[in-house]
Amino acid sequence: MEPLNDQELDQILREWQARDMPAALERKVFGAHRWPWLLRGSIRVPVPVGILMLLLLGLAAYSSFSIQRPVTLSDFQPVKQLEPRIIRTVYENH
Amino acid sequence: MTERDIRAAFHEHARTVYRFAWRVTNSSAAADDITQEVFLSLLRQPDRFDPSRGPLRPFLLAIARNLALKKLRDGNRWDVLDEDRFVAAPMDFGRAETAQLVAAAVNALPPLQREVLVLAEYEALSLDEIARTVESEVGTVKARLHRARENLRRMLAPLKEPNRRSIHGTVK
Repeated sequence: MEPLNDQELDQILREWQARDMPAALERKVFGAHRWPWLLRGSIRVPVPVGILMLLLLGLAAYSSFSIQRPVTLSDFQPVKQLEPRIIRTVYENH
Repeated sequence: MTERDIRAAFHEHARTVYRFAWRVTNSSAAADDITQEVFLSLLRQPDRFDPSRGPLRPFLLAIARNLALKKLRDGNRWDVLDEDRFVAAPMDFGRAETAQLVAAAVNALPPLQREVLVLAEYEALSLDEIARTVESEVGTVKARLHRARENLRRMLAPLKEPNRRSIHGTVK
């Protein structure tokens, strides 16, 4: 049997058309990527922004620490001038 | 590469990757899996692609190729016969359509011949790009492509008009 020549082979090979890629594949690729990212993902942060964020975090931690320092006995001082206000209800006048 | 770059790469090359995987594995499910895995691996490790080492298309096809060969090996569809010694005989076509016959003939080729044929004939990659994809020398690619075409010439010979007429007895 006589084999095909180059031109005939090229012509016959072109008869085999590939099926089209499913449209849902893009959603599968980029959707599937999102959820594991929440567990294993990483974020790139520029160095100056990172330093600024660390400074802000440090400042926030320091200020919250200074507000919540423990109360000591020295915080309780006698009142220098007592100015009592007497508040009566209308029923007490009768 | 950023996710935006990878999305652009998907729009530009996903169809090529899919077609290649589909033709080499002869399976839609495998082509789906392979295309998905190629781009997911790039999303997981965007720094894997180094533009200074070559263009993106052969890089993506090389990942697809490794996955496809793994699937063929896992499915025991990898013929251990030395591909240099593979000599195809004309196929018995019966009443099948030409496209089915071509698919059957291409799938009968040893995997290393099949992949270079698909990349050259159907994806129009240059010899250099094919060599990058299959991680071989250009000379090796040329030799494999030549053997693949020789085998197909013989396998598909019954489709040649004079042969076909003599098979079906339509010569008057």
